[in-house]
Amino acid sequence: MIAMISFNTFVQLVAVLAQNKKKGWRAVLKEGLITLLFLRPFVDAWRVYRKHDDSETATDSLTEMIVNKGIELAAESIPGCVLQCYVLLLNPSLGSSR
Amino acid sequence: MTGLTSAMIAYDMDTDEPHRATQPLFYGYIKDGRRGRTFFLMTMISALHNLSRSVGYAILAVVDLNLALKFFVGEVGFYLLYKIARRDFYWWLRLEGVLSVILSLLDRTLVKVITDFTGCIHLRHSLELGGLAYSSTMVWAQIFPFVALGWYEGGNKEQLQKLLISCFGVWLVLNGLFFCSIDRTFLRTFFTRKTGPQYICELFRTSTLDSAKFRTAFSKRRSFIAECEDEVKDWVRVNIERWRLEKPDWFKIDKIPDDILPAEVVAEEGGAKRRRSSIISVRSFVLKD
Repeated sequence: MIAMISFNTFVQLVAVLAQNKKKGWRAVLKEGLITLLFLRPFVDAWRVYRKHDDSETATDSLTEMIVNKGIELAAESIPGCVLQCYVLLLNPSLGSSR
Repeated sequence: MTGLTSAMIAYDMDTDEPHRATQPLFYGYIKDGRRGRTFFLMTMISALHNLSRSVGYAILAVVDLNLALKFFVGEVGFYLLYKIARRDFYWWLRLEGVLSVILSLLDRTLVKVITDFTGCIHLRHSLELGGLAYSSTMVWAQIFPFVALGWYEGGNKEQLQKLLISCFGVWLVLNGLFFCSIDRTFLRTFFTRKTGPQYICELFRTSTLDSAKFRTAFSKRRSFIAECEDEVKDWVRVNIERWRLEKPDWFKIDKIPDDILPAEVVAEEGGAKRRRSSIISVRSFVLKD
């Protein structure tokens, strides 16, 4: 699970780099910190709600939120589901109260 | 949770007004009076799809971990080859050099994984999987767990078979209800063979608003408009003076590449030194900062 969360964070950091490149290192560091502190979903949702518009970013705030949700799905949620099914198949007793 | 996130992605994109206004050929399949029902159906379809697919991979991993890995690499590899063969490998973001290859590879792989495991409906977009690839992926994703079960020799094989058949049956019924609840004029988007660049050129040609045309032509990778570049040049040449006078919000002259602007406008804007909204590359990032 830790590997999945780490991979998710790493890919989101790459996305931060691509999204904020034009704004320079300071913006990349700030956005990177938001990602590292796992605040990304809140910040993204807030920006979409406030219709945040920044012409210097590579994509609009809705696309950024969707990309981050997609990364979470592919790097964390889906591998997590497969891992849980795998563990249940290897130890069927885990899934029952007997 | 996975099903909910997948449905939320598709729902948020489809019901976003700016997307509906600029890409009416793709967004708008969720009918206004049936938003709640359609969202519920999308969530359930994704959750069931994820369950059967995850069980399928778990079965393969129990049989042989290497076999599961081979299947994964095979599926993703085949998809990447398909994209390369159709000259549709690069993602739409305006990137250049190594960063564009890395991010395109990452995007194509992650999008394939998400579609395989959740069937996220938004990813049938020509800029992502494309309609036909999406539908083929859905069909294979439903067959795959039964293929995996063929190798399985565990004591609970019958239970797993019942689970997978039930999942498939309910998934099929929910899909029927879903297609009945959406706007059926969008059914073609589930089977289209258009690549990203073909879609962008079609969008440019069919858009009626200047703002939509501008966004289509200049917010994506430059190579995406190669097929309709002459049309874009003509359109810019005819309208550029009016835009410079009227200065509409969406008009950002720095987004237009030099070779698309008329030579006299390039000179007036500062020639080779004019400000450009750029494409992003690792090299430019390092050099700038």
